Amino acid sequence: MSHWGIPIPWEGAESVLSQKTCRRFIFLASVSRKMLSSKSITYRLLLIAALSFCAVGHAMCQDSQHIDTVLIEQTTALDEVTVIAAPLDKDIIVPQTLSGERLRSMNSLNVADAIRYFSGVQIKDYGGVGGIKTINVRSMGSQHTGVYYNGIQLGNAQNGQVDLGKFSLENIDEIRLFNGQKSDILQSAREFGSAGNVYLTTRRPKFAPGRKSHIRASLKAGSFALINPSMLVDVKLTDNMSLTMNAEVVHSNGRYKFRYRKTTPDGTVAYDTTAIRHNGDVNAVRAEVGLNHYYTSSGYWKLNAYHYNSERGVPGAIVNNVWRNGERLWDRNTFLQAQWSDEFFNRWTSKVNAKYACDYTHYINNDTRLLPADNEYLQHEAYISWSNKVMLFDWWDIAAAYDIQYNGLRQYMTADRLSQWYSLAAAFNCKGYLRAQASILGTTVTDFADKNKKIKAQTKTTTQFTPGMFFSYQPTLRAKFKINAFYKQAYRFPTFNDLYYTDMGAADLKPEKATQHDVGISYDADFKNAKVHPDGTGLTLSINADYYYNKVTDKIIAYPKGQQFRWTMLNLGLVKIHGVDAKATADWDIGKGWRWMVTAQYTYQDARDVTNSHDNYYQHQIPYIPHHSGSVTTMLQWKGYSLNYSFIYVGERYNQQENIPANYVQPWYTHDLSIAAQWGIKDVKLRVNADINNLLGQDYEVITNYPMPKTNFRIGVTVEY
Amino acid sequence: MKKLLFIISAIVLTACRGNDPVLTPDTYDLGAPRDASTFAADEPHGFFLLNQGNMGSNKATIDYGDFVTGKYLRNIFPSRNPSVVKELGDVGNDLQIYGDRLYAVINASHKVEVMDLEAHRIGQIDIPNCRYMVFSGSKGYVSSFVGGIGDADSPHGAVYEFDIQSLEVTRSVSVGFQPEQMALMGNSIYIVNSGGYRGYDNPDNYERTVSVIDLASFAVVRTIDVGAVNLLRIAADEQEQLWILSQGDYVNTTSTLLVAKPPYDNFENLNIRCSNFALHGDKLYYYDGNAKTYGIISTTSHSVINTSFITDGTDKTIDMPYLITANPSTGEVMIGDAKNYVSSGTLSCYTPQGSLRWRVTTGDIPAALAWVKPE
Repeated sequence: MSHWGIPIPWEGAESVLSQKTCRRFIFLASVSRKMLSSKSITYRLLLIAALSFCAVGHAMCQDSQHIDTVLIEQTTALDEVTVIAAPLDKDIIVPQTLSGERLRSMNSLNVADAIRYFSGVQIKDYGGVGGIKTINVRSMGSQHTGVYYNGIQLGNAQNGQVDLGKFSLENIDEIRLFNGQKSDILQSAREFGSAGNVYLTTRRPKFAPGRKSHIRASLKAGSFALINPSMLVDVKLTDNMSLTMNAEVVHSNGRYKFRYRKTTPDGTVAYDTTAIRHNGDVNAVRAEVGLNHYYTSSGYWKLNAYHYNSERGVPGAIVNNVWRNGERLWDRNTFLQAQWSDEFFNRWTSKVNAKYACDYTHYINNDTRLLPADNEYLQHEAYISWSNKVMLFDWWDIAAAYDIQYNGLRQYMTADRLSQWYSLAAAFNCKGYLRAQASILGTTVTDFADKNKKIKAQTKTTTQFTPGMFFSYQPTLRAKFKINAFYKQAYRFPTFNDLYYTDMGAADLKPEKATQHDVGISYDADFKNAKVHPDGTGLTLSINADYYYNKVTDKIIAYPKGQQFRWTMLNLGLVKIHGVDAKATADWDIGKGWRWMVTAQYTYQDARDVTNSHDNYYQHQIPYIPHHSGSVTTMLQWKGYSLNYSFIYVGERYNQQENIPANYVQPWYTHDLSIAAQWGIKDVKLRVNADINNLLGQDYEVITNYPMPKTNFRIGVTVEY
Repeated sequence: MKKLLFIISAIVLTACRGNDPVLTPDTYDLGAPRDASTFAADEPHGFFLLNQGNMGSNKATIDYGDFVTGKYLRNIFPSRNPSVVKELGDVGNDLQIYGDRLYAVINASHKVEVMDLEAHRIGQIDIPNCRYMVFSGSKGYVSSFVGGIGDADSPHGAVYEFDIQSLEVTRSVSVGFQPEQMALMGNSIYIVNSGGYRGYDNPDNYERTVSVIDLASFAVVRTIDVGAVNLLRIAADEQEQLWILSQGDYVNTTSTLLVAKPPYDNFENLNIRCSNFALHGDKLYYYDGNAKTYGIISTTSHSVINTSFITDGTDKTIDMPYLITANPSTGEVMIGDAKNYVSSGTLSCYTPQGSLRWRVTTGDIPAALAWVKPE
């Protein structure tokens, strides 16, 4: 079963029946009419490649085909074959995952805090509980990363950014990050459109045998006057249908001490000052209701309503003579989403996603010294997607999807957009040796002329096609060594702000394009020898490393206009990114209830601005991307007790384009420690967490002039029944 | 493997974060050193340059160009004032030398920084959202977007008077919306109002007035409608004509230059697109940042006498002209290039004939220049 409860034909037992056929080829790539008519050389090449692969693949897979067919129709044949247990990561694209106990034990408050431990990821963090936190995957920019909540994308047509700090981990069961795209080709067309995808999955209701309900209450409290109570109730309506309700409140005054210290070149203290961060308070309420019905083993529908309401201060930059700011922000995010999926004739799986979202933002600037601002923004989004996957053979799946979405922005700015995505994809698996996936996505975006007189925009339609190809090769099924590679293009369309914001927007912007190339290896070793340790103890190791080369062309950047300090948006950036992500995980079941897990990840990024050789930052590392970053997390567990330690390192980087001392930003590294204990008394489970973050009290900034908190504490109590 | 990882992290932990020293100046050449005796009697021996820095970056910096040593020092404030927390500040807007002191208006730090002529800090005057300065007698006058009068959402601007000895604000007077540069004419300050904040959302709300303040009573005695919107700069030439730069509303009307003779009742609109100007003798040097043109206007005939005074083709290497000023003695024209506003700029010195003499790298957004007069 895939992670989404949808069967994938090759997930599960692998047959070695057709050993003689061996190298089953696979190809993929589907061809659309638009592609055929395209004059683009790229598409023609792709087409030729796809057709030749198709022919070769067909020929090579031919003789095994009837065996596969027999297998499907005569499942009893399986009895006669040796079954090799499938590696857990049967995915072509191996995601980085945080889930279950690992996720809970981190005791992070929000998604951004947890996702920092992924490789290839930079989080922009403006500090504190209420500060904006956005994700940037492999230096392509936050707008190239899609964030999905229970399978449907979280959007913000206005600025294209998703503030992960607003998404509580309280009800999240799993976070996964895919570079490129998800392995399962049964996905909405839009999912093919991002350069990287983050999937947030909420807990699926689980009931103890004989119970019709499940209740969980928790309370977190800590530094910055944090109080975070939450409540969850699951109700089993029928054997297959359940209702889940979840609500939480987050309050924090956002006050913390921060310190700026500089020395003279000879090392004596130049200045050393400590102050308190103001106007970083946040008050937020989140409420969710979900209804799930798994009416057959393959068919289900889900309804999910989400509401988030918050007021916060925007603490602002700390600059000379300015120690507090007066900006306030109110957010109200509401969405209703529905999903249905079923499988027919054991071959065809169909899925429908639908969503309506309404986002209201109110921004004011109370600082009487500055530009008075009192702006309201109201966004509506309506989305529907229909995706289908057909298993042609047990080694070849094809999929097609169509999505349509409306976005509207009202009040301070008026803008409307209709987006359509249509995708074709295919996935191949040659007996587990070689897997491949190919997809082609068409995106058509229509921006409607605004009646607002300030904006001289005309209705404009842009269509782009983007292919993706993914391979994974495992030389032998017995050793879990794999080589994987992918190539993918993705566009990010200009946001409403890029197009229309006061006189800064430029309505003639083209989409920004990201092209990714990746090769990687992975190795899983299992030292659990059942003969030596029949109790199941032992060590598993997993190591993977990827090299990638990304290119961002027509990058949308703010550029000065001719007048004093008026900016405009231009398609003027070119960035080339070479990077390495490496990750190693060891999981040692020591026995007698002891278990030790450690994960280390390292990221190297060389992301250079190569827009114009006349710029004095030509070939300099782009802002806020460190060359080196990494993390180590480890958990020692004994029965219901666990001790966790996390270390994060982000190397030196620059806060503007030029890599000069004036723009230098110091590396930062923090140590976090937490303990958790869990006790069960009959049906009641009690869990207590205590954390110390930034143990050594490092004074650091992720974004220049936005100081981060020193050592801070949090405790949490959870009761489940 | 695991041990190795821990060793790596231990190395990382101990090796990578040392002291964070204050920045020391970078040095560039301005040309050959000159003996002090070779300077004309009124010729500046050097200049200070104020770099604005993008808002929120806290990167306002001061550079010093010394014609005697032939050296240009970039960013001298932090090393000369290491104990000033968070250095010079955020968004430098105006720089003046008055007496033996250097004054820098740091807009988003809401202060005027007061220094000696070596850029050592003497003190500061807190003035909210301050813009430009003029001086008269023992007083300095600072324009500010914040005057406290009017409704809370749209306060009028003001001019604050401070005492140059005590560095205390002594008086203030409310003027129009978002006032900018001032010109001192006898006992009056002529200050242009922009309405920049009000016009931001609605171009009809830009200001088109000059407020005239009587220094004795420190009251607005007259308000002149100049017939063009969003005024930024004002300066008086040798003939006591007032020259005003209107920025236009960025939508329907373009920028233009205005001029009037005393008593300044009627301003003539020259209909010349202009982003900034500098007066020298009977010439007005200007540039248009949109078209990237550099011209000269005769202050006597009010006509354009040269539409491209840079003659050696180096105007093509200026991305975003942001500053223009003339050496009061030699007539050399200095042009600051802000590039993309978020990287180092340049300062170019042009001979009166329009060829490039030298060019140096400045801080981010070179915005204001003050000549160091001979002692």
